[in-house]
Amino acid sequence: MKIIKRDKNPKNKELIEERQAPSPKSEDRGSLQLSKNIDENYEKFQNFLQESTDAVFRKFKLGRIGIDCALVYIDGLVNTDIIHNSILKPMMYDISELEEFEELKSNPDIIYDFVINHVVSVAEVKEAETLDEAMLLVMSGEVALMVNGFDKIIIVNARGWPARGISDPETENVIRGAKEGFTETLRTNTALLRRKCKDPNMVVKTIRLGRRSKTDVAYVFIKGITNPMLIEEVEERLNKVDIDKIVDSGELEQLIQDNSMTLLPQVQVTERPDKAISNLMEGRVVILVDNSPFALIVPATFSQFFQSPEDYNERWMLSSFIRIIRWIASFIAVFTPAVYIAVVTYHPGLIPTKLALSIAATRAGVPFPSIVEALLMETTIELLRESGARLPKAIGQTIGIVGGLIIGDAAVRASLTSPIMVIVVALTAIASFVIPTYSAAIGLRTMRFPLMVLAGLLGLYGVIIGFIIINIHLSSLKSFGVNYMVPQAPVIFQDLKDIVIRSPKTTMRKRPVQTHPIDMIRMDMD
Amino acid sequence: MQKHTQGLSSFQVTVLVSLGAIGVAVLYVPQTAAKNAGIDSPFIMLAAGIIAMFFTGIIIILGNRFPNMTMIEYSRVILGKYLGWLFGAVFVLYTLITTAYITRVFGDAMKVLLLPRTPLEIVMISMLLLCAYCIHGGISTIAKVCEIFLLPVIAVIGTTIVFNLQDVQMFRFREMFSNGIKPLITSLPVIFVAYLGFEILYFILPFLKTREKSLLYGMAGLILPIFVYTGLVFIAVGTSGDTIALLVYPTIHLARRIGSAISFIERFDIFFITFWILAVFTTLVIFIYMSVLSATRLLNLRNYKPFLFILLPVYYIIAIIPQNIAQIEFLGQFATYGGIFVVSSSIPLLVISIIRKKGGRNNVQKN
Repeated sequence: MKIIKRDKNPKNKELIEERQAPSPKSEDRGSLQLSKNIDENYEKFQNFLQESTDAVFRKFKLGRIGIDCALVYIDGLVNTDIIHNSILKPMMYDISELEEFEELKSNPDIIYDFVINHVVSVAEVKEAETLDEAMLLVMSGEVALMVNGFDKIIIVNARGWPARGISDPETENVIRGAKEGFTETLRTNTALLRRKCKDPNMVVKTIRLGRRSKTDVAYVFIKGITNPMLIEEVEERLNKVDIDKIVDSGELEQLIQDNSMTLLPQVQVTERPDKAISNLMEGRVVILVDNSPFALIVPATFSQFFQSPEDYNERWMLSSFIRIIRWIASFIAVFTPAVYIAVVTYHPGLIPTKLALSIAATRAGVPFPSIVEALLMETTIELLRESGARLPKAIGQTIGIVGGLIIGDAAVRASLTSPIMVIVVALTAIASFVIPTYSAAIGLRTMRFPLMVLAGLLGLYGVIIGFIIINIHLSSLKSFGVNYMVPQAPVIFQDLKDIVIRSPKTTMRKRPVQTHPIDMIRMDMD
Repeated sequence: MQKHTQGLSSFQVTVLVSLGAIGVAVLYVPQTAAKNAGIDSPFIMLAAGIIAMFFTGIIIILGNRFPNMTMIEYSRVILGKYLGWLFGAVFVLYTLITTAYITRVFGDAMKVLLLPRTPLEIVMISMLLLCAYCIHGGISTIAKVCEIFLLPVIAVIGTTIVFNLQDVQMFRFREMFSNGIKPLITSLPVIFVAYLGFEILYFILPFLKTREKSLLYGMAGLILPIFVYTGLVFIAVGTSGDTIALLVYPTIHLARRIGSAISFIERFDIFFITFWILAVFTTLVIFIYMSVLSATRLLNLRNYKPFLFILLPVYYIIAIIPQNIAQIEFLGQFATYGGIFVVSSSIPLLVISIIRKKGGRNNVQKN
């Protein structure tokens, strides 16, 4: 089933709107309109929440006037100190001490405004006009405060829940650069971005996605740099998302990407606020999902997966050297086993004679053709990698020893494989971890299996066929309207400065053209 | 974002023309050149390249008189309904035969040089299917793929040329032009064929983003092929004299020579063949695209993709028919003279369109 609906069929549109309608159905739970009677409102809340043990209901009287008031909140999502000291205490006791209290007694109509203006000493206070609105806010950790005689609910922000602190971004370590990564709390993440860019033009817009999970999704862009057409595209795709829950940005990524029939990611994922900021400055849009420490950056291009934030912190020659190594590594990771199979099986003439002889000698005792040998070893290394990723760190080392030393050495001694094959496989594995982006690296790594089969069938011709297919596929991909292989194809000469070579900062006075930013100038031209 | 990414850039036109011209001919061009022009062949190769460039210019000027039209459509405007249709039909026939010829030459070369025991059919069918996959993505995908492949193709041919330069002996060129002018002129058409592929300009101009400087960029597309072909012929004749005409695949011979210079690869020729496949692929894609697009437009249809799969078996059948080298050569003759006819008729087309006042400014105002 297509989740992003691209058709303009009005019937479908209605269907989506209907589905996005508030989840508490009015017919089975009574009217969603608030009444002036506090007991009715209170009961409506109880109807929804009475079975949940984490919902807290509290009725109390307002000061000496004795008007009925009530609190509803979800335990664990709120900071109880705020409730005690800034809501309950002022409303129950301090209110009677106020000078304007007498006025209040004679004029009960202003109690509602009076409570907001004089009593509740919390910075962020909102009003909810419907039960649905209030319910959503309560579920996201705010406190609903009801006063008898008013059909509005005061929503007090007393959010406070246990959260993981800011820590090292584990999947994207750098040697030189900031050591802080995004966390699971959306507000912390937006704050991390704000701290790095104080430009008021940096806009943080939020929408709620997921019919049931109502996850906050924020998209961030810089007004005046990001192309408005890109922002429109992002908004359109986000609005088309129709699903019951979004728990991680990975789920959202799959719902907004262009093409799902591909091994490579079309959205960049990062844990690093500095990377997000530099992408914002290049005219991209950053999408943050509540509960996920991974931010999405759109549009993504293939060459971005070879860039790391520290490239820009080191001197350009060193960074360029590392970039070149990464590109070579990507070719090694994808093509080495296939080329080895092709050369050994079909074109031994390509190898220098002495090496050819020693390869032949080591392969003499191996009973399998090299394609079988290669598939066997590559599968083993994938097994090792996958088992290592799931295990606790202490056992992980053991697996490394067992896998690397024992299996490698024993397999050679048992004549299951030749030592050269072990070298090839190890080289491939190491090379694939050089690529800084995990999701791109795993995509590239998977490509080598079909390539090995092609090499086993057609030799180097098969490898070249694979190379051509990969290139055709990459060229046909797009990410949010931007060509995936840009700036290599179509060539944008200006942007080539930051691909294989990272040119000196002073030569990159303009932003990359590939995302079509409105404001091109990065540094003054003189 | 669509607005920015639609259409071809000027540089893509350059690349398409370059890779259209650099193709199978890389493998045998020194042989044909040396056979027909002897030691004068580098000069003839250069002259033929300049002539090809001249025709490129004519085709672009002609195309720019009819924006939004491919050759199939504007030839009807220029020559009238029936004659124009006939010209289009000849073009379709030419591309059909040339595609089949390229496929067959490629298949034979692969059988001889890389995969002696793999059936010819497998090689040819897999290549045609690969092309179909690329063409299915449309002209923008074709152009992007060509841009990516330009570098490896040039790198491997450039390496061959550069490493062979040290062995060129200049005394072999001492008797240039000793046979007079006449053999030069007669050999010109046969050698000119190597540059064919730039006819793609008949079709891609309507897809351009901007037409300014299209003449410049289009003609620049032939600079690389001129360097490649002239360089190859120069080193071939310079290292082996006109005996190079006795070899079937002289370029492979050249590539094999440098195996010892690059020590980590024993035989550079296999490496060369592998990357030469990329050049064949791009040429083949361009020819199939021309062929499919012209056939579709000839029948006044819009969507060329169904036609792609109708024509694929046709190429294959034509390619598989010849039983021996003589018959393949016969097919090659068709491709040669068809190509010369198709390219050279751009001059009468341009002249007639000027005389009959078709296209150009009048046309733009009408639209």
